Order: sequence, then structure tokens, then C-alpha cells
Amino acid sequence: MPGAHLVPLLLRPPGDAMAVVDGRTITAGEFLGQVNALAHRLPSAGHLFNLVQDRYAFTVAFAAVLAAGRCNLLPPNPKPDVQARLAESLDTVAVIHDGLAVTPGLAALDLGPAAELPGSDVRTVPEIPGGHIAAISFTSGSTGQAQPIAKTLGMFRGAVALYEGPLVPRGSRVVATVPAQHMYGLELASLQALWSPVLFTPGKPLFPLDVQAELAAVDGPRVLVTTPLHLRALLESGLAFPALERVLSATAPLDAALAQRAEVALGARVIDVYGCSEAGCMATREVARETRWRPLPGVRFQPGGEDATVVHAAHLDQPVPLADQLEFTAPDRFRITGRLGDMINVAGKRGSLGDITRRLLDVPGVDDAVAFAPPSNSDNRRPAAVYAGSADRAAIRAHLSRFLDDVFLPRPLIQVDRLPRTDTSKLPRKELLALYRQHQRRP
Amino acid sequence: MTDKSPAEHELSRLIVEVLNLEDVTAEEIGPEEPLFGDGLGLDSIDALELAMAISKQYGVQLKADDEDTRAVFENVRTLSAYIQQEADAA
Repeated sequence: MPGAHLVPLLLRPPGDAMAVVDGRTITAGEFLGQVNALAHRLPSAGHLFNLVQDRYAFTVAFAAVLAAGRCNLLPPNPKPDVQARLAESLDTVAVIHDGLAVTPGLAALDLGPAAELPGSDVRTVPEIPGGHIAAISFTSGSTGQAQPIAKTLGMFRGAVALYEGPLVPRGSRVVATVPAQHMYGLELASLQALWSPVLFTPGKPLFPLDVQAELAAVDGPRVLVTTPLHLRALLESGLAFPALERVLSATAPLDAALAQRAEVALGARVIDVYGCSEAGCMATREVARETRWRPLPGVRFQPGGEDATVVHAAHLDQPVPLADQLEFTAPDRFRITGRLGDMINVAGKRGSLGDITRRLLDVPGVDDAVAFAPPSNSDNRRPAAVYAGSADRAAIRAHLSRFLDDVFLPRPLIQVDRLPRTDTSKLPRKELLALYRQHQRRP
Repeated sequence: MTDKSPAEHELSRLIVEVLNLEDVTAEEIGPEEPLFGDGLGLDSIDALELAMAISKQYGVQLKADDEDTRAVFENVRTLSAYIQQEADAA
């Protein structure tokens, strides 16, 4: 039965390069020594938030938590308020970090600089049951009702096997612009290096100059794990970048024209990746040349008609229902035609419009309100909102920012005398978009 | 409110325009008002959008990877000074 088998925490020869930290190559053996040393220093009880920002140190902590038979909690962002709210819903909590603000009252372990992590001579590879819950991530930005997503070590191990080749070729040097805690960054950089011969860099470069420096820190076939926004910034910078083998883009659909420009400017294959936190990466398209998606080998989609499409794969313990509407044009080719329900995806974070609306209605001086997705053809991916009441926008924003990730703070936040409700109290999207457009045109 | 130099005012206008800010006008952004956190409340998406606009307008690339350059983003005054310095050096 799945889950009973043991999974080695690391499948790399001791001399293999795992990462390059401050110009120094760290081998799998050294990594293992650091993991084993840290496993004994972890706070003794409670749930462990892994908030380490340096990707290498994060990976050491992630593996050490597993070696100690524990579970990594991965909040959607490291804000102290978010820590506090999640901590309230759990028994006891400790935070592993590398110099972050920690909610007062929570036990914390500061790892310090990644280059100075203490090692040990213990080089045994911990073996852990495949069914052990390795990580719980919280995806919704509106954490009042965040859905925890639990993944077992066996699921991660299976995902890495699936990605080796189609996404991350053996021998790749992975540079990622997405956070280590985000499922996409977690799997394709940190975890890929546990079980596949690749190495990664510790940074999370934001600006094009930072990306350039991070890429220059490694030699060999580079793979950039990024998002459409970061990629657009790279191209618009006009900078020259070290040779890239491949660019993987996820979290939002990549525009074909942008992909074509990127292939020319960077000399890399640009692969758009379709995934979700629950199932990981599921399908790809070389969007410079094709509009339709192909499932990764081993991934099978089962269209649901009126219901959600579900995805099957050997490493998923059960089929995962998807929040997107897919249209199949051939058994193994599909388009993404829309989003089910009220979910909104901003910068790789998923939030519920219903939650944002509920938070808005809680604000003193807001009488009626609704959050909605902006027109699909606009550059704006943030939620927009309309409200009626006497509250001013700054007050609303201040209130919401206590509960919501910044990317979910509605922009624009449009004040009206009355919301365009129908007789049955519904709010037609057409009316909301009309208000949105009217607002955009204002002087 | 302290007076802004013409360069600081121009940068404030760029920030408001690029980020589609609606609660403030360029005039209302204080030269030393924090851009991130409790001030204007910008986030990393804004930072990237802003960096693109600054590279287009001034031909200056921003960096975020060390403490010094994070200080650059503190407010309009520090950001404007950095842009000036980089533009002069180019």
C-alpha cells in the first residue's frame, strides 16, 4: 500500500553538488551533515513554521524537520500577523527563520547565515515512511478560512520523479524567483535537488539585476523558475543575461508574444507550466509555438462535465479536483477556459473573493460591498471592489491589511452611493465591470 | 510636509501613475513617507512594476539583494537620490 514504504530523504552521492552558497559549492554529504545536526536542535514540541528565506537554509530546515519526524508548516507569507493567526488555530507553534520578525510569544529558532550552518559527521540518510505528512501549506491569502494542503513525503518524491526531464533536466542549475515556501518553488528547486542530480541557488532574486547576479553565480545549464511578471521585467530591462537552457513560468498564463520575445532574447526554451498547490505541476506548453496544454507524462485529466475536472497521477494519493475549467480539443490537449467559483490568483497566491467580501463587510463604516475579479483583458490581476458607506479608502485598506495578504487588497476600491443590486439582490458581473471601466476612465 | 525637489516630484508622479494608486496624488506623497509597509503600503509586485518604469524612464536598474539597496526603497527621497547617482555614473 502507498505510504508504508520508506523514502530516503536524499538520493545523491555524497560528493554531488547540491547548491552554491556565497560562491562555494555545497555537496550532498555536507548538506546531510547539516540536516542531521539541525534535526537535534529543533524546538522540541509543537508545529514548526518553516519561514526561512534563504532557499538553501530553508531546504536544510525542511529536511531536518522531516528527519526529526515532524512536519513543515508553510504559511502563505511570513507576516507576524499571519503567523499569529495560524498559531491560534494550532496547538503549539515554533518558528524556524533566518532573521525575520517573529510574532511575540512564539518560540523561535534563528538559523543565522546559510553559509555558517553547523555541520556534523553523521552522514546517514534518514528513511521516512512515504505516508508521513511532510508539509502543510496554506494557500488562500484570506487566511481566516485558509485551506491547509497536506502533502506526504511520497507525494513529493513522486512529483520530483515526474518533473525530472520534462521540467528540470538532470544536471540543471536551478535559479528561482519564487519563494522557497511556495509549492512551485519548493518542488522545482529545493525538493528536486533531494532526489535528482540538479543544484540550486539560495536567492529569490526580484529585480532583473538581481536575477542576472544569481544566474552568474552558477555555471552549466541554467533553468530559471519564474513567473510572467518577473519574465516581463527581465525583458524590459534590456540587460544581457548569462546563457539559459530553459525558462519555466508558472502561477499565471504566459502570453505568447512575451514567450517569443523571451526565447529570442534569452536563447532559452520557454515552458509555461500549469499547476496548483494540491497537485503540483500538471501540464506544460511551449507557448511561443502552441496554445494548448499537454499533460506531463503520467498525469491524466478526467473532464467532469458540469463538475470540476479531476487530475490523476501515480504520486497523488487521490484524484484532485481542479478550480479551472478545461476544454479538451484532443485526449491529451486542452485549453484553460476559465476559473470555477470565486477563487482569484494573484502572484501565485490564491484567495477567495467571498472571503475578501466578508472582510470588507466587517469594516466599520462599510454598509455594502463586493470584491470581484477585474476584466480578464486588463493587466490588473488584483481583486477590485465596490463599496457603499462612509468609510474612507485608507481606513478600509488599513483594516483589510490586518487579515489579507497585500496582493489581495482590492485595487481599485470604488466608492459608490449604492451597489448595483438586482431585485433578487444579486450583483451582475456586467454591472460591476461597467463601474470598473467608468472608474478607470475618471480624470 | 517637507518640500520636494523637482526630481522627487517627478518620481512621485511616476509612482502614482504606474501603480494606479488612487488614495494619494503625487503632491500628497511626502518625500520621506515610507513606500512599503505602513506608509504607501506597496508590495513586491509594485516594486517590480516600479523597477520596470524606472528603467524605462531613467535607464537605471534597481537591485534588492543587499541591505544598502533595500534602504534605497525607503522613500521617494532615497529612491530619487539613488536614481540620480546611478544616472550620473552611467
